Amino acid sequence: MNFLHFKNSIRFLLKKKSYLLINILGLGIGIAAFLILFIYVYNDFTYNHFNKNLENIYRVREGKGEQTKGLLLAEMLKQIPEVENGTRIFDWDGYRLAYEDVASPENVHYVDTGFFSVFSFPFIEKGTGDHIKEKYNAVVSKDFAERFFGNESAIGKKLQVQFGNNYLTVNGVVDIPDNSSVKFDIVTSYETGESISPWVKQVHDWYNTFSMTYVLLKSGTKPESIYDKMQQIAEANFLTGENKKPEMNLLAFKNYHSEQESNRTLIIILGVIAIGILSIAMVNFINLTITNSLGRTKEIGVKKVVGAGKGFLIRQIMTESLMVSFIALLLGVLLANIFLPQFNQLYDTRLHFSFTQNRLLMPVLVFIWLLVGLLSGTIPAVYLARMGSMDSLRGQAIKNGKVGMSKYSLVVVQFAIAIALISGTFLVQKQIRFMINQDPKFDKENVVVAELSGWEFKDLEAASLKYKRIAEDLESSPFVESVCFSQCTPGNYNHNYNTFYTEGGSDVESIHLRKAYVGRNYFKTFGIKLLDGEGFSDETRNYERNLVLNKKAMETLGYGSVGDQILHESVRTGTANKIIGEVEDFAYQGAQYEMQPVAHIFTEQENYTNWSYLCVKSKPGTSLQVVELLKNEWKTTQPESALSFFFAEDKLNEQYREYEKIKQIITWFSLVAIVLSCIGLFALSSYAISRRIKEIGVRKVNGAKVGEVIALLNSDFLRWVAISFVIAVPISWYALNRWLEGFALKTNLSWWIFALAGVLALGIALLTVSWQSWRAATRNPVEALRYE
Amino acid sequence: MIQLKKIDKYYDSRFQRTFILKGVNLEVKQGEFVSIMGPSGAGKSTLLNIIGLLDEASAGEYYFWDEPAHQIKEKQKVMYHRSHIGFIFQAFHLIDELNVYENIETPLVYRGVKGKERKALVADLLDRFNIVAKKDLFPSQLSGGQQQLVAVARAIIGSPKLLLADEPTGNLHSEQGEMIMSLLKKLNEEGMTIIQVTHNEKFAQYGTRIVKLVDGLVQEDYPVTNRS
Repeated sequence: MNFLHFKNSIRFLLKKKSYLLINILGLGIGIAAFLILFIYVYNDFTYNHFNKNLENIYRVREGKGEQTKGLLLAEMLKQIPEVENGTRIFDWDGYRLAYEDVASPENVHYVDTGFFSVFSFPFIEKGTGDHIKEKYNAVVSKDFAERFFGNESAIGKKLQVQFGNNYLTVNGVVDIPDNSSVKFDIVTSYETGESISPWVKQVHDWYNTFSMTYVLLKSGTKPESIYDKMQQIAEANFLTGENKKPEMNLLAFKNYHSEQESNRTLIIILGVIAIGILSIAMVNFINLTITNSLGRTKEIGVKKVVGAGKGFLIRQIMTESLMVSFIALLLGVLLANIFLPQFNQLYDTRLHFSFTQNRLLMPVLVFIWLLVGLLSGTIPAVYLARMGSMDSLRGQAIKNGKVGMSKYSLVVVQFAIAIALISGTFLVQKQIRFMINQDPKFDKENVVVAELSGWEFKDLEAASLKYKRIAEDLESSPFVESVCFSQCTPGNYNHNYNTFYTEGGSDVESIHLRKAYVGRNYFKTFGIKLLDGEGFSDETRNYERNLVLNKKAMETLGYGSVGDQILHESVRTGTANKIIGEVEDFAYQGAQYEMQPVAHIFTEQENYTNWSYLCVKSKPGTSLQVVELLKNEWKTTQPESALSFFFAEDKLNEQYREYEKIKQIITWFSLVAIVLSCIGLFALSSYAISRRIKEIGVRKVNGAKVGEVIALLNSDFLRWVAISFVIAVPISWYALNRWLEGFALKTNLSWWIFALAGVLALGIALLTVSWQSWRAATRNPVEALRYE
Repeated sequence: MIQLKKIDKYYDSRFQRTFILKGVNLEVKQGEFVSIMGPSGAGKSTLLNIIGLLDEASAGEYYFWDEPAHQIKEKQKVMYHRSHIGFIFQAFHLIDELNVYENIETPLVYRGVKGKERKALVADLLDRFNIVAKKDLFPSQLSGGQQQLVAVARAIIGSPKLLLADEPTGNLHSEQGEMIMSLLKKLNEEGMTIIQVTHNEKFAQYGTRIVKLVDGLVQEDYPVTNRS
């Protein structure tokens, strides 16, 4: 390759800046979208791969049960020689940890000493001895270390447990890979855990299943080969009697993520989308490059005449397409790096663009580059090099006539996808708005909820009194209508269910009720309408074992009125609970879920720090004053902790956030689809128009106006967009209908969603082709006809 | 130097065969300056293209330096284009993306001439044609006559034995045309064999011999008596 040719190529490319820009942008966007999905899929496929022993790590299961008896591992290590090592993981304990002025409630994991031999967590900092072997030694995650110690070395730092005299000593910091199934903030030994929380020892027996058990088998051991021995241990210790016996088994850890945690179908769909986007972008790029290089036949002809060989010409065109595709590749990498953080935020992932973390990345990039570069170069290169010199000098590379149907099919597919995605975006948006605009049947504007954080206090008695006083202060304020303590707020109900048995007079023998624990004045404070009976609002009455059901529950039970009906919890002879009230079916959860029968159970707490929320209903229009009031109360009574509060509707709207994410991701993909299909259409229309230059010239010479020529050319392309619309509508109608089925309350799939998507696609297509049609139509016909 | 024997060129359409050239016999000796003339559609350009190996005859024999050129392969044609034949066209056919210097340099690149030598050769020609000042300009910045001048420079930089000119003055006004024709004449006097196609009776007089072509047949073939 000569420098002269290089200059020639660059000048040639720069001469058609719009082509170059569109071409590079198109492929760049395609590659960026592909890369992000590729990194996501790769991350998922390489879950847990950082563990050196991955092949031999197994998770012990009882039947399908994920958790195992606490004493099982010790017995396995003793009796089964194939089990080389193992560890239990217990993650049910948590308490306040403090270092100097940093304190927060932490979930502390307890593990056996084999933990760091089974898993290969990379250590950033290592202390002395054997990680957590010494009592009260702990290993923390990188995040934890940064949170508590900032930039200082974490080794040797002492974390105070609650407010007592126990301290955990940090003896190691690990950088847990994002794609690890086992994650923790802080781990310490069982021995330590049992000292801090004695109940931990009690639940590790041959009855309770609180911990997970991982074992490391000797290399080459087939997991099935030790099932019998495991079963023997189980039978000797806990599988007694004739009842169903779960079969002990091992789940290979390397399959754990794909079988238990991730959605393999989704991953495969994403992979297909990634390859689809990339191939569409590549085909567009190749088409556009070919179309563009057909315009240089004269140059090729001249070069042939002055003595350029075939090899020379092919090499030159190849170098050009490799150059352009390389720039597109760089742009793709750049865009991927820009959008990856956004993707991470949306999907709560922590993906990185890193050649060392993702070993396939570099080869894939090189592969894309060569594939696109060589394909888009080879076709025109071979074609032009083979052409007769005289033909190319006359510039007759492009045959006249219309473009065949097969060339259009790609554009039709691209536009069909774009239209489907656009209508999807509209529908998701419509559904979200529909759900948010639902009447939640509680006062969503005037209720301020303060989150209580009992873990912060050393002296719980004093803190309880403070909370009580705050509540009383608030109640006496002129801005406040009512105050209540509660364990839940609308949009924030626990998944806690139980069966309740009726005593007769009901349509059903028993009912499955969702349980919610609330304090006095809960319904009054949230403005939930009482339909019958009363709602925990009499200051003097004791409501112990009293229930307030929602309308749905009453309907299911078939009780006409409250009438002091009794429900027995758990079993027919269980504790009796009296129904004293019925409330509206208010939105205790998002509108996407089916309304369930709910029981509100009256609760009183001896210590107010056991409550989760303090809810305050302000007089209409004074909610900001109430927030001020709350802030003041917090400042005067407990200056050490910051007030964290929300408005009643916030938690409910949070339940729609998932759909906001879906909307965003569809919007992004619609944009990609629109850009790609526009580029496809652009390539095709410039090719098609260049073939009709002569026809246009003849028409103009015979009196066609510019407008008429544009209309003629545009109508030809828009017909294909119309066909895409016809294809896209039934497919997306079906898909969107399926999607809507997942919602209890659904908006209608209006016709205008599709109409709007179609009009939008048509408009964009029109813009894309009009510019070229206009250029073709305003050309001097003499130019087109000169050499005829 | 060039010997054409019974050259035919025809196109077959579905029902008939259209002849462009029919039984053309022509011999051109080294040092001659032949002007091919004739009305539109007589086959002048086709004949020139066949001589220049840009087109192939349908029948007949063509000897270039006694080599059977009607039998040679694509690769050899490239070799002939590199070292034996130079072209000038009515539409100049300069490469738009290259400047004057680079356009002239192109044939040398294909011949694999070393950079230093190329520089010397191009500089020499620029000097000779008085276009040193224009060497960094692009074709679109030049007048037609200047463009054709560059095209001539490009055609002869490889010192070909044969220079083929297809209506070299067709896109030029008369003053520029004369300038180009005197240049061709000068080249011919220096020993270059030239064959040109022209409509212009006056410019035909710059040559040594005139061949008149009508409907694909050689009608007249006579030397120029009072060469201008």
